[in-house]
Amino acid sequence: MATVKVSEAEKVYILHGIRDDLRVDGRGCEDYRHMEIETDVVSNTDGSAKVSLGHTAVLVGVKADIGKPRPMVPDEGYLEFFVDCSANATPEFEGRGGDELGTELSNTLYKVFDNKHSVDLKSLCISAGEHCWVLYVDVLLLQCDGNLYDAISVAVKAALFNTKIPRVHISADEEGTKEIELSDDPYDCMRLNVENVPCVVTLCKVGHRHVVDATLQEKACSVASLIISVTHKGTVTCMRKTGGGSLDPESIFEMTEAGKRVGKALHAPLMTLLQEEESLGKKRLKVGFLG
Amino acid sequence: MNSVAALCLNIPDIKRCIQTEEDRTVTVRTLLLLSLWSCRSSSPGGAFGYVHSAADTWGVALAVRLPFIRSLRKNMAGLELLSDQGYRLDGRKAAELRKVQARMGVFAQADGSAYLEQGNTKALAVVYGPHEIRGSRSRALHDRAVINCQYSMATFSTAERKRRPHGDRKSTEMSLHLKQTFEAAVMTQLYPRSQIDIYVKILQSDGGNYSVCVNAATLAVIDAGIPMRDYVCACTVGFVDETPLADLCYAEESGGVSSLALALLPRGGQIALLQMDARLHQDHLEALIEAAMTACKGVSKVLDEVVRQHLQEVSSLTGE
Repeated sequence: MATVKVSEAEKVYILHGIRDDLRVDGRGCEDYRHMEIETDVVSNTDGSAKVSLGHTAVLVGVKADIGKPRPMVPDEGYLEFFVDCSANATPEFEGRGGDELGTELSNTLYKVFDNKHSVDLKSLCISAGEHCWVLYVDVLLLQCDGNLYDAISVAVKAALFNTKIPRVHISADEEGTKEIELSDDPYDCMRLNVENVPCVVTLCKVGHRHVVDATLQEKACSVASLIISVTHKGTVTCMRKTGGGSLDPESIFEMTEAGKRVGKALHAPLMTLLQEEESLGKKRLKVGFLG
Repeated sequence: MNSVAALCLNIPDIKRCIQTEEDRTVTVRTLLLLSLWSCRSSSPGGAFGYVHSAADTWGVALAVRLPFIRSLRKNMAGLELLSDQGYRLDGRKAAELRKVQARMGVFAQADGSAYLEQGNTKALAVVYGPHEIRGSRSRALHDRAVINCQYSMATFSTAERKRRPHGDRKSTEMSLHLKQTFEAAVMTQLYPRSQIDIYVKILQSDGGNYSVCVNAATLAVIDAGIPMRDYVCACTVGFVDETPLADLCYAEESGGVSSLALALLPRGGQIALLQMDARLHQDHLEALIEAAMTACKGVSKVLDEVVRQHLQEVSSLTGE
């Protein structure tokens, strides 16, 4: 995260702009920056996606592994999140410097996905109480330019959409011991239903108004922000307030409404984009980092 | 390799393994190892004293079976690293490199950045600096810049998921090697009392991680505008059937080939880093180094092209 220093005059300029619904880069208060999404970028994974939002760049890889179901829910698989704040993003993350932010981000992801509707965990079950699929969702931060939560959530959704879990056949021999056989055919795979996977919308309170997708400069002017994860239907699955300042209840209500509106509007083009990319199949030109 | 080594110590296990031939790979590997040990046991003071007695008896039997083993080894799909026609597992010739594709200036925030693909190995390198020393001032050198490297691997980069992206022994060692390499190449004396950060991340790993990192970092350092004596180009080479193989992929690296990593400043032919962990007859070393240097020079040509193309694009954008 390139550290930004904003002078008093600049702050006033940004604040006045936002008051008039015109931000420094020409956006309105509820507009996102230019977003680029590409799926299937790392072939070692079962699903991957690269998202860049302004200068923020995130790479997500999903690996499916066979594990033991949790004792409380023997007929469900589970997701594991890990966020790696690499030193590539900023020298401050060198060594253990990025661990704190990484834990905070991954804990938020756990909370966002901690409900029955986000992902159909029952479909990840192989044999109840014995084997299930564990999806390791690993997020790699490559560059930080504000609004990490939104970029990460979009990348996670895209990567889960792209995830191909090999089909398994369970065969039992005479003694009753079960054997799991993975399908050899790479096209014989199971896809996740990501329709209900929520996207996170971060709203930054700047002055008396709030903005979506704040840049680092705008973040420096705001005292507190609200993180809302919204599904395509507008259902809120998680809400958190971050930042040192405080928010009054009335503005929280307003921000939630705005978050729901923006979130719903974010899902539709994202899904069409992902489906469009998928439909291209092998004809798709893979760009990755070379473009 | 550990599991194989563990198997070797347990002779009855091997016997069973050979008799039933459940797992052909393990069988052959253990056989080969045993045959090696049996050769060794003739020399006094071998390292594996406690296996000798068992291996000796087996060694006699094996000496007879050795031609059979060799033919078996040739027939094993996974182990035939160099075919009779001179092709490798991925269809390359012995001295052929993998396809190298690179791009400079991937990220806007860093001072220099580059992305490099060598076959299926993909690395991102980012350079910050030269800047003031961060942290303790005592690390500053009064006559040159400190080079600070961090090597890390994305948790999803390998076939089996990694638990930690960095901080384990292997990556610490790799960071140190990168530091040594770039200390030899960067003109550090131009920036006294300052620091240059080089961070490399492996996004996808398919052998030759060290060399891909060096090649990517070279481009990133150039992108940052830090003067270097020359490009640093690196390559790993292996030795199979009396033939040096250039630019090993993961299957070849893990196939028990004695491999050598070399970083070269191609114009002067200076070696910035040379590393070999495996056994190799001294007579072959020169041929292997020669092959590595040729491969490095091949890489340097590609890098030079990337830099020139990047400069052309940038200068046409700025209208110079």
